[in-house]
Amino acid sequence: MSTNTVTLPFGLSRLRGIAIMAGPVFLLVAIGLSFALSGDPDTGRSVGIDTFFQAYLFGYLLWFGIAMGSLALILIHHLTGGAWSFVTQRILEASTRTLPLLFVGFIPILVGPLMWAINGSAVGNLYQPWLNMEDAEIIVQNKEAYLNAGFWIARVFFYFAVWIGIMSLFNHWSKKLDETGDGNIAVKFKRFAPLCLIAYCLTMTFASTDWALSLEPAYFSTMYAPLFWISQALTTLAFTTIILSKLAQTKPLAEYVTVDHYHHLGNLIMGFTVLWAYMSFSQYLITWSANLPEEIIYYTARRSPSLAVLAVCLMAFHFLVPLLLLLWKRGKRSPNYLTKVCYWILFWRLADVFWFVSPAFHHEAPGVYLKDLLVYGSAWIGIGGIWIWAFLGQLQKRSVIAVNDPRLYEAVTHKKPPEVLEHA
Amino acid sequence: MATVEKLTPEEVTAKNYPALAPVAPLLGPGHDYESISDTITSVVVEKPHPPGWFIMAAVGMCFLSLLGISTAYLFARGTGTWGVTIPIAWGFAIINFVWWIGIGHAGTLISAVLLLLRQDWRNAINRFAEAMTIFAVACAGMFPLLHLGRPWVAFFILPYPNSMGLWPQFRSPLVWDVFAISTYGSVSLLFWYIGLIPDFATCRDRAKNRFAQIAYGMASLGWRGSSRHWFRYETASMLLAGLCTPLVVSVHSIVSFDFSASQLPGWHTTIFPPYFVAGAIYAGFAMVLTMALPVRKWYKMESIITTRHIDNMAKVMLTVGLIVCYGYASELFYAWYSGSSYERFMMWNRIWAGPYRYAYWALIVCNFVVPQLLWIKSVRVNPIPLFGVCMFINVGMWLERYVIVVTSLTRDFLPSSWGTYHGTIWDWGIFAGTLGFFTVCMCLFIRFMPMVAIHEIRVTHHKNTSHGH
Repeated sequence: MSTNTVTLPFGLSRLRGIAIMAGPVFLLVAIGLSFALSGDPDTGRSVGIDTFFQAYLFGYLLWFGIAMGSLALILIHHLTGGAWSFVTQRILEASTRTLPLLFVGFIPILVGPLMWAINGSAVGNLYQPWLNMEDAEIIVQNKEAYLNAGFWIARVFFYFAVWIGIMSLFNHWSKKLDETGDGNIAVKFKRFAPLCLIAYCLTMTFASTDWALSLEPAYFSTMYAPLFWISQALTTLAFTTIILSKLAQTKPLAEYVTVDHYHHLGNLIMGFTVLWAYMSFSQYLITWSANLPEEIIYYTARRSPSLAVLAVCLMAFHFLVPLLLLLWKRGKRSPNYLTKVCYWILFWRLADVFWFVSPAFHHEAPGVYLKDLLVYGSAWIGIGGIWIWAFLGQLQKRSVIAVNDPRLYEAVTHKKPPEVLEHA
Repeated sequence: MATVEKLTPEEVTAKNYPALAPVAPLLGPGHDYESISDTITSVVVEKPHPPGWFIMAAVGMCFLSLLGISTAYLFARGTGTWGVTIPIAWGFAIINFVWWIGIGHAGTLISAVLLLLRQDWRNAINRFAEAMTIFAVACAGMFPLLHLGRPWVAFFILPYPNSMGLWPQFRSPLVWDVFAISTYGSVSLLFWYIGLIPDFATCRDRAKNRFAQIAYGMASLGWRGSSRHWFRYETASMLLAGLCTPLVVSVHSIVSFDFSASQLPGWHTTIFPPYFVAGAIYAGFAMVLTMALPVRKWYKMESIITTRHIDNMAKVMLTVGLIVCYGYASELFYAWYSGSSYERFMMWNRIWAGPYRYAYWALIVCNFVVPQLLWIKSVRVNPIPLFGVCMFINVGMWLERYVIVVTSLTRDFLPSSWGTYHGTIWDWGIFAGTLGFFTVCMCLFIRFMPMVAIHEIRVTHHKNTSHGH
């Protein structure tokens, strides 16, 4: 009934080959550029290898966000039973199966706090402002019970254990459903999805605090983690739509994917775009209006002319333009049009992550620097090359559609099968 | 590979997957188009009203009288009769305002957002919930007006050129509230009324006395049910649903700015906008069920508002309830994480050391502990325990606002400005009075208007009988 492996369309298989070559090369380029374009320590700009680690975190968060966003969307998909999203299920599952690789990929970020814990070394250390508590402000020192190297490292292992556990469970069941056609598995999906979604929300809250929020340890915001979830979901939806449009050019997916699926995906992307803007703006408005010293530093660090221009561009091009483009119904129903909008959104997702990561390292001289753009871009392509290679490899391994899932009929025909009623 | 076109509905169901296991129907058995209209319109034009309706109306009238007395006393003696003082200058007025506004949100969510999301199960409950929205907004609107002390100059809040050169402070979220809520009220009223037009026409055609025929005839605006009418009706509904959807989010977000735009620990936190919206939906669904469960029983509407509707509403309630509880946990964690002594003190005072800690823990029991029963299906589909859970949530959501307002204001930055607050008998009188106003309005609505959208239930019946094709 189902094919066990997928032959990728030529474009994707070629991309996989290029990706694995480009990945390591661009990582080396990022390291080289980091040294070659070393900053001036007097201006507070990063020196030597430091920029590489900062850029690595930037690139990592983006690709990691797709894997985690995929995990969340799979859980939401099973929880709500929205049948139409079945056509994207295998793409999302393949993306989550890169989590073990991402765990290994976390080592360069982990190494700073680890080295600090072992020998007090500050080289390549992204979290120096709170690791070195002696030099920190009082408000940061008060966080020592949470922000300390040992606890931080232990939490990293805990988060990945939870995520890889959930990912393994759902991927295992999915494979079993393909093999056996046992409909009880669909019930398991539904039963465990809410608990796993709660686990995702809680762990991602703490992970976003540990890995990104704590870059500026004096700052805190209760909106930060929900904004992280929404950003991950938006990036994932845009990426998944692009992959879907490539896969749907050939059989077997070409038989299943209709314009309605693109329409639904377009609507969801529009919804998440609005939600991203709503949360970002709310966070800004509340912080700006109270103007408290421990909070406003986040925005004053992003107030230099170049960063302010970037912020305005984010409002215009990350929110307004996609919103207007996605209001057009016929456009959303066209794979070609929707894919282009998704590329646009992905580009501005890069800009958004740059906007919240990069200024954390330039508090004394905030701004958008050419050096940063080059090193960050190289690191993003470098990590992305390896990630894309792994992702497409995973995508090839399994049937591209869950042919034995009981919800498939509705997913493809957009018609509900007749219900078996309790009192009929 | 087998293509799906070859997988017929019979083949899918023949596989007997548990995921396609029996579900409660959206419409009870034995209904046809006529019986649907009969069941719903008979409440308005024929059926004698059950004792429950009279009891509810009588209790509501008593409380409504209390509103009249309390308001008259307030006008005579001023806002000094309330418990408000410095540092608690808002007190019950803002607590009740936020509570009522929140309750209204379920109506808009059910009628607009679920319509856009094509959730058919909304059809049986949307009219009821929309009516609640209108009445809840009316109740909410009373509090800021009464709190002005001089309600006859309430129009000063509107920006209009005047000889005094007086303009509202546009940076204040309180001014945004005026625009947001008046827009929300107007659009909700319009949406509700447009939905009622075809059903008013049905009542006109079935009314037994001349006065009712004329009244329903005027209300139905000459509706004849032609295809052109239906086309325009559907277009208007979709447009208004699109307009209402951002309002679901914007109104309570702006209400949350009333607090979060300040500097006060416990008020100033960035998660407030989505957390308030989730809280509003939570409270709103609880109130819809609080009203719908007994009314459905009294009028024998179980075949129209089925266990499937109740189950779905309980699931939505559980989901948004968990989002609200995430908000509580997030406030708790980040207050500690902040390292700010003011934030930490606020939370310690709220949960352990302060005089209002009992209110906090009561709210946790009401909004977090008890609603976890909704994970159990038998609780979700059984009206009595579900009604009990809803009552806990109604109380819990009021307590949530009480905790936010009172614990934060009574213990701000300066110990010299600390104080205590308790509502007076007149605070409680006005709050109980608005409950009476709401109840009486709901009774009148049930009595004079079709409480379920007849034509939408007919659409459900059509879809059921034609297998959704």
